[in-house]
Amino acid sequence: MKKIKIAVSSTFILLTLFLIGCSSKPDVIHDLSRKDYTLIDADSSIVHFPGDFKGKTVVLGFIYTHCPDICPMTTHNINLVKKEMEKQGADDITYVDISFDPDRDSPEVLKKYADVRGINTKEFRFLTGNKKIIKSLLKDCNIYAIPGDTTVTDGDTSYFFIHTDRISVMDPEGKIRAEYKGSTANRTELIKDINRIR
Amino acid sequence: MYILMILISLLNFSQSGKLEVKDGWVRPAGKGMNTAFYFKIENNADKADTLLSVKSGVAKMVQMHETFKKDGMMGMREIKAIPVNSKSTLEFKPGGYHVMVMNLKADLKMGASAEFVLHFKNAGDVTVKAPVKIPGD
Repeated sequence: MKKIKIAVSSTFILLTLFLIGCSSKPDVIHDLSRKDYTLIDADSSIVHFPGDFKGKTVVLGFIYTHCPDICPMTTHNINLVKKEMEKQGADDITYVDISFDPDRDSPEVLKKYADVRGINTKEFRFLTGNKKIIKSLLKDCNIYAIPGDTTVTDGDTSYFFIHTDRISVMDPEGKIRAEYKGSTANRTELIKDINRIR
Repeated sequence: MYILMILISLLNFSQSGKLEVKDGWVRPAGKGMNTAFYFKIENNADKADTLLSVKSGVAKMVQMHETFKKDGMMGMREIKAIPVNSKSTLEFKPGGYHVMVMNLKADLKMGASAEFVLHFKNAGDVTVKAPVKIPGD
């Protein structure tokens, strides 16, 4: 009888721990809840980040629009996650790409980047801003973007970045709790984390 | 029957010498922006070849690049020539080799297409018409 009681208790404890593990939010990686970065979106509206998104879980990518290979994959991954979450009926999530190339990524350029991909910038926000503010935001999110090769084409100088490849998930309070490699993120894992965090 | 066998063997012989470029596609991008062109090179020839350059009228500059990882970050660098072994397939794909299409002369929208000429050391020029798309969309 005693053995049965021990077995039942152990099973109960293990089950409780398992359920806690499944439902609890991942640890905070970067706390932006007390920060206020004044940015501008692709529709030229001022955005206070992350304050304006308080109460919503934010799926956040870091990109520059002149990137031909990695950053479009990050944007595409977020867009696919957005479509999947909408299928699940989730309306408490905001999807955001922040540019680390504010010199070139004006609101108009961001708008064009979204338009050619059929992305509605009211639903998937693209943010840029003052260089100093962007730099501070990148530092707080541990994102690196170092200008690399420069190419001159018909008098136009084009440069590329060596940069962090990242998608982050920020909770409704402004705390980043999950990070993925943006271009190759496992969307199933990402969606699982979003559902734990929201 | 004998003639038929000869014909089949001749057909196989001619196919074995071919280098083909397949499954080309380009990401959408706006005028003045950059994009990438991806494809597969199937080299069924008996000897190796080398991709020396890619040209296109859709952009002001076209270069062959590879994406690399350094200190946990991602970057790109130009590659001047890319060898293609005999009897092998080399894929230009996201996150690897790609053709960097810089400073587009006009928008490349979904559903449109763009023409590229790949210049190989042995096979010469191969022209590819690539659709503008986002795979998985």
